[in-house]
Amino acid sequence: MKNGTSGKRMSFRQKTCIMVLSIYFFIAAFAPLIMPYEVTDFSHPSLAEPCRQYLLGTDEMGHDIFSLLIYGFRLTVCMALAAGFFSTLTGTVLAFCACYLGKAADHVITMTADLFIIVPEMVIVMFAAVFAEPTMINTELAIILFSWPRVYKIIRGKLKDCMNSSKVQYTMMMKGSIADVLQKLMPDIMPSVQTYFILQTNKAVTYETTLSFFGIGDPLAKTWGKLIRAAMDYENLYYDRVFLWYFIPVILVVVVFVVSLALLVHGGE
Amino acid sequence: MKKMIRQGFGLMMAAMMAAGVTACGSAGTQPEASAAETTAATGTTTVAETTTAAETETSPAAEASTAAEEKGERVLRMDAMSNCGMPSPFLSSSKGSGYAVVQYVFDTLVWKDADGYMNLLAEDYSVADDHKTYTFKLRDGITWHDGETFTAEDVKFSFDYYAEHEYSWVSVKPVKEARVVDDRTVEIELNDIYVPFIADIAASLPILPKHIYEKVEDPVSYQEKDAFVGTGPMMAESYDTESGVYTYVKNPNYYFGEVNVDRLILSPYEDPKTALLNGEIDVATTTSYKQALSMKDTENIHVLEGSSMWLTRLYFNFDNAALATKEVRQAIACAIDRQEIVDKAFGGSGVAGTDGYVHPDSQWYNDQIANRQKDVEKAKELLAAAGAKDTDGDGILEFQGQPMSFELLISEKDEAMAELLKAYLKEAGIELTVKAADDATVKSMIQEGSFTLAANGHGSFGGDPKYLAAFSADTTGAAKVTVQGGACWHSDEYDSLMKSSLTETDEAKRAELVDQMQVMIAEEVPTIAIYYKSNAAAYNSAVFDGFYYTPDGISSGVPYLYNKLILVSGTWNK
Repeated sequence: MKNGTSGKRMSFRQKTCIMVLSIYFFIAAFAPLIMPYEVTDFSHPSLAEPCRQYLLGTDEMGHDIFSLLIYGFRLTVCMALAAGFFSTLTGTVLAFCACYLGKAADHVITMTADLFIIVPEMVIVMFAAVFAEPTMINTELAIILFSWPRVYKIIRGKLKDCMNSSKVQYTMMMKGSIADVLQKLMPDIMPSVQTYFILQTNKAVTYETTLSFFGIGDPLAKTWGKLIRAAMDYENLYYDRVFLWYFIPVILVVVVFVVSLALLVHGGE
Repeated sequence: MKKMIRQGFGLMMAAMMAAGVTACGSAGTQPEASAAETTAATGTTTVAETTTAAETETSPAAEASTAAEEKGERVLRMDAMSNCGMPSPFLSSSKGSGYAVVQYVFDTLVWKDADGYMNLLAEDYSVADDHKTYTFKLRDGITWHDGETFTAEDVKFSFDYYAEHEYSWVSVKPVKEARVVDDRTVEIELNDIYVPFIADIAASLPILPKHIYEKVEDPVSYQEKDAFVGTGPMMAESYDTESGVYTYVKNPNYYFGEVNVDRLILSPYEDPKTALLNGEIDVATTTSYKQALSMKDTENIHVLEGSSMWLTRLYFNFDNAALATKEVRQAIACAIDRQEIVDKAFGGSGVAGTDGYVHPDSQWYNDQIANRQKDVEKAKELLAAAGAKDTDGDGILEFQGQPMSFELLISEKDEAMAELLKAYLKEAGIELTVKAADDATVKSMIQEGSFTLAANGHGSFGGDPKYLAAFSADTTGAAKVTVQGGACWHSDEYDSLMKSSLTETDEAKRAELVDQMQVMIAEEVPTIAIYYKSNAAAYNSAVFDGFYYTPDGISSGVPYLYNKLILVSGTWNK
């Protein structure tokens, strides 16, 4: 995923994005070491102002907000990457199946994908997540299950073109295995797959955050969405300065992550 | 050029995606958040706030109030709960807030003011020696809003009508017959002694005009103008279904005294505190406790604290073998720290629950019961006594071969409480998985009995201890919202105590029975009272002064400043 536009030189903007994202991944990987307290530890005084002990103060219950924020990196970044990876994988594999198997399979899968596309993704994702058992895995599955069709449509289009290229036609004629065909196709579709992986990851962050903002999914998982919601539920948020450390940091973290991912794809030339 | 467009597009995409998070959030919370969940309602973004503000500027309420002010009218503006229905008994919502909008228009025989029960439509009443017949002498010179004279016929008619057409707020089941003695005297005979008759029925049942309702076959669908004719201090002028704004005008002929406002407007606000501070309303009674208290030092703003009539408790499903075991429930009661829940999950705006279910400030509270304090060792002992053992060493106990892992159902705004409960029970070896749903769903699931463990709050709690009927087989007397469905705790002994407490006319003896019931509840733990929510409201005393919290709430436990007699006894200061 290092470079969405492999081969070409990266623009300054993309380099910045990659740097920002690396920091995110670093924090996600080493979250337990950075966090001063456990997220389940609510023994601190409530609504403490930022100080050396609590870098971003504490919430009403007495959680350290800084720890919650850092833990959110791990949860949200991991979830987003996994959702992005699996939805892209699903879309690509199905696209390949459709093209390789041809007619009937192509018809059925495309129909299904079209069906999903007609309804706004967010709506079905929410719908599925509400009725499933309230666990992180189910939220994740709901996001993956309903966000592959877009990937599928694009990759399928690409594949259709490539399938007709002489090298693939030749491999097919020689009765090459699926692996052989794949090997020939790979270089052509890889850039699109990479781009979609980033876009899907981006989308997954928004979905996950929105879902947990609405209280869908594991109600106790300390994601960024939950933190945003908790901050907004705080009654005096707009009456005192608490929003400066309760609300703004988490919003910034989400926005920077989403923007970096988006610019990584769209910013380069 | 092409590059620039590309870049611009990229930026736009990013901005849109980022905005998506906040935009979806605000759009979603708006219709969901009812004023009942003030804490949740405050969680709207600034975007939502501006739209609300924009809406109210053009709302009928605002228009009506500005037009009226030009005429020099005294307009009192209060915040309202949303979805209270129309201001007539059969068209209002079954919640307490529904009753609040009805009581302005319809009077009852007896009522409560700041000092407690007083006669309203009745001038006087007497009770027969067998405590089964009540004779009400009615006041003279009362007219309906349409000019017709109010007579004993109307009272008799009302009792008969409510027997035929069920009214969700008051049940007339204990009444055998209502008889007209003369134009101004009515006799009400009961089937059996029913001690809470005055509190539960006479002081809550809105009296209907016979000359209108005798022609109404189906009151639930009858919405003509005259469906809202009563004898109360205010006359219903309009109700806007879309915005939930109520407009009442003064009843110039009110028999109980001069009404000190000309117009009363109730409209729902997402954030009553801001509305009050901005001068959009004069009274904020649906604010949360903390919000009301935070206005204490504001000029002209008067803050009132009322007693608690809202209880949040833990429900057990008795179909679950483990939860049907007394020791397990006792252990859970020992494992939790209710005071910490009040402080951490609810910001200290309440009182920790008692083992006997009754509020500690109530005159019926049994102070002999030592409330359980958090004691994990005791909880473990109790669980061991019940036969729960950790056989597979995963830290979670097994009860009859089943791991003690339960789903806890909570409403979305109670996540903090759920987190605490989960942590407490984990210490004792019980695992909770938390499922959140919106409040209405949680309430209906509790009433259907489709849950394992649930934590939820309800009002209609306080005053006469008839609400203890929620745990007996015959739940008449307990409000519907307080009764859980499915398999419930059952005790014949408790049922007979409950039954005798409703027919015991000697107050001291009744108190003894109520004490015994609390001892049973504390021992058997049919539910765990987690906390009693405190109440507070704020109003601008430069506009209208003299507000009070009705003892034990308006009717039974409606904890707001809506008491209609405030409009008569209070003073207009503007």
